[in-house]
Amino acid sequence: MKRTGVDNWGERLTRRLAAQLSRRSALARLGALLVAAPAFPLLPVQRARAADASTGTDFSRAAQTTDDQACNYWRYCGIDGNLCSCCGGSTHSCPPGSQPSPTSWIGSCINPADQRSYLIAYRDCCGTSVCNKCGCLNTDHAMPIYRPQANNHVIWCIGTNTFEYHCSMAVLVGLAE
Amino acid sequence: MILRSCVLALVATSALGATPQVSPTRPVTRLSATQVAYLTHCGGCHGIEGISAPGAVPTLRGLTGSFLCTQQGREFIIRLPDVGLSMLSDRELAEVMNFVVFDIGAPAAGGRPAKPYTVAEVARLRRQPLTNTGLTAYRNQVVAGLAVKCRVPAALHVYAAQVASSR
Repeated sequence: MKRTGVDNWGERLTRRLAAQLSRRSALARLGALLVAAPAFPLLPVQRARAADASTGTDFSRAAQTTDDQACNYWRYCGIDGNLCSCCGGSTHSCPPGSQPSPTSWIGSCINPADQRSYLIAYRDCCGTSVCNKCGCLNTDHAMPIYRPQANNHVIWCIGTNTFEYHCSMAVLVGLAE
Repeated sequence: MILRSCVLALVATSALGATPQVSPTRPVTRLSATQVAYLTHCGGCHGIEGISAPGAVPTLRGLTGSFLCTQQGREFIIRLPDVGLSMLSDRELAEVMNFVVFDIGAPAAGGRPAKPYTVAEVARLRRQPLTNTGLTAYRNQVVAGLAVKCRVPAALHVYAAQVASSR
């Protein structure tokens, strides 16, 4: 078989290494390299993903704590509907003429002010026609419809006099420890 | 209506335990892992304090502990489809159900001492979910059995009657 330039280069390299390094030294260095390699993520995608994991969800990174009429208000991370804050109510009270549902779905959102996780009850106000202001859809921790307890498309008017949806609140339940 | 909403908000922030002052104006309830699991898997429908929409959702407050009076009742509440088929692990489900029967659901008048659910017991029972059984009729049968053996709260009989009248 005809030798190529690469073959010659490879032979010279391995002979030089063999002359300069002991077998134990080479094995020790190779072992150290294998152990240490995972600690140094080389690809930017991997580094970006690692950063994401430590700082919450896409929603929480863009969330704010001052305007509860904006869809990126921190408590709205799993809301689906019209914000009661835009309809004459607030994050925890129904607009006049509507009735708060005793049932809700409860999710959790990260508060950017302290980076801690709080439980939020998405409770609908019912009994009068839809408000149609500040429509907002976020899906943190929401589950598909076959898990209806945590599905935010469900009209949570169960237990009220009618199933007529008006708007959605985001009631603070507590701090998850 | 606003008053009712305010009451709801107040309940939401005062239920389930101590209320440390996180900010000067807003007391926030600190929730244990078991309370979080209860609230995110059960509390939306059954209510933050175990009271929700009578007739539409069974009340837990002061009632569920009574089911431990008989073996059939003890098994019934784990075999309920929404309990047994929940996404909680066996250990989490055992902790949540012990919270539901001994904290939220403890009868006001007390009851017979009962053993807490073990992880193994929950793991065994949840593999037999009541998916092919008429739940209201079976519940009536279970409650009738409880009434024979123990003194059960009158409200335990009410749910089936409310369901029947709403149909």
